[in-house]
Amino acid sequence: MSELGSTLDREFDEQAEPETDFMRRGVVKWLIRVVSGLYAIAFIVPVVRFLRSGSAEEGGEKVTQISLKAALTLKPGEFQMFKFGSKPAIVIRQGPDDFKAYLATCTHLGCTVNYNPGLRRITCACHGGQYDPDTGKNIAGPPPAPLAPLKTEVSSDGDFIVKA
Amino acid sequence: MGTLLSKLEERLPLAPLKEAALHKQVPIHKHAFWYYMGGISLFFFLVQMVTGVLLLFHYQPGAETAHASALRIMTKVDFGWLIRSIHSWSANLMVGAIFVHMFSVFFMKAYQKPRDLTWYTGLALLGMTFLFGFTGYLLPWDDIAFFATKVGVDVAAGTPVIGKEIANILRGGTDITGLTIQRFFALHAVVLPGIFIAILSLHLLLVQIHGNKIPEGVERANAYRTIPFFPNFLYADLYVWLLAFNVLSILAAIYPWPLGPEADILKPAPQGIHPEWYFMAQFQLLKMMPEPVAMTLFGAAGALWAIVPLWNPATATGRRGKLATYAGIAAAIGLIGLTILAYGKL
Ligand code: HEM
Ligand code: FES
Repeated sequence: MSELGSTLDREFDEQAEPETDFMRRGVVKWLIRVVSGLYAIAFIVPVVRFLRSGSAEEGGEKVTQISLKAALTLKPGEFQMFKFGSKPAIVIRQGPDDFKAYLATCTHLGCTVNYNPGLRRITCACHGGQYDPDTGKNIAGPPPAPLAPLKTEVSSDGDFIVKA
Repeated sequence: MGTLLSKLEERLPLAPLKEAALHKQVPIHKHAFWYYMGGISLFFFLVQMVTGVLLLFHYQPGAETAHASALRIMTKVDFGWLIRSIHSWSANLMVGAIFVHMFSVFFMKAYQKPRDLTWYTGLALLGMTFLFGFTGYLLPWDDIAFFATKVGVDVAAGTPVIGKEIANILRGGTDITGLTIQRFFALHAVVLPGIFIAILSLHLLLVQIHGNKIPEGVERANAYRTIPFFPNFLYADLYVWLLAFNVLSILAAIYPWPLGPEADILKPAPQGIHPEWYFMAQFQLLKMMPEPVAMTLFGAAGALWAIVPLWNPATATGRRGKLATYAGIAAAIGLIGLTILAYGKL
């Protein structure tokens, strides 16, 4: 840019005509900046938008509810991992009618959590985070927030439903 | 041969280059051993290029094919296990050699003007080596690869302002999918090698221009002699490369690099999971304190380290150098201490 500018300067200098020249030079410099800026935008916007397009755009619709009949076969104290949309999730049966379900993504740095029935804790092997299975609350280690809860219900026709 | 050279000389200005090569001298003194570390780093990078290109002939990115092709390389492809093992071992040795190289130029104060540019290009090469390791690690798509990438990208997402955007671009969305493998593959095998080779060329050119830094004490006491680069130092360099090659071959053959079970988003992170040794210090910090604190601490220390040419510039007497020496010792103790602590708590 500046090199081009100084070349232009020299050319204008040679052609002299002091005052109009001064104005013309200012306008041309300004024009060059605007046009360069437009080119830069025309280049950057498509590239960034191209890179930003991810797999999330495909399909589009977000999962808000799934059926998980298999959870009904769990015995109290047992748990099961399942997919909620594209995310891993966990359901723990605490008692005959007491189910707890959470997204299984650790709120620290995203590892998939596990249930430890002996400890009665949801644990994360990556940095030792622990959560309370009754509430999803983060109770030990580095996780900064509770696990995202999911709602569970047994529908009138005997199906097990998990909802966001 | 002679005629080919003379034909080239008729067409290209080779005489000054030849002259320079013949006159280049390398200082020899009691710390001169460390001058080999950059060359060793270079050697491991060349090994990475050769074995990486070989792996390209069999490796297939994609959620369905990545792990299957890595497994094929390990079990069906003749010597596939060896090529993959060398690529993985050499990646680790390369990081190690660059670390030693960086600390040795730090203690020799070779980052001072006019070599500050060389220091900055070297730091860029170290950063890119981490990126090579990080992006390559996902490619076999085993369980550890999957969680290493989850944690690594989430750490990147914590960067103020642009972090989330960068994380989504890296993953190709909010989840780690086949598209993530594809993107890491493109970075690992196309983008990074291109940029790396460009910066490496600049780094080596700068090293040629400035020559080896002689540590202040040695220079003042005049306790050194010089030998010609060609052929004396070059032979010594090649000899060290041969040693490095032997060590690499023995490690790769005796301890073939393992391949874990295929990544499965429904499987919890395996017990005892941990990163490669060169990320263990950060790993330990992440366990001990909230993530933003850990990363700010590390980022600030890293930034201070990077700009040492600014806070410890060359002086006529070399007196202020002590501070940098203590900082170097503190950095080494800190990194090694955290790493030992991390392994102790596994
Ligand atoms: C031109 C340069 C390179 C090319 C073309 C290349 C290519 C590849 C390919 C195709 C793979 C997948 C094969 C597999 O996973 O078994 C891979 C994996 C990997 N690469 Fe590279 N690579 C290059 C440089 C590097 C460098 C400089 C490093 C240094 C840190 C590195 C570190 C790794 C690692 C850690 C893996 C994972 C190995 C595994 O567990 O299988 N690569 N690379
Ligand atoms: S990712 Fe779960 S504790 Fe760090």
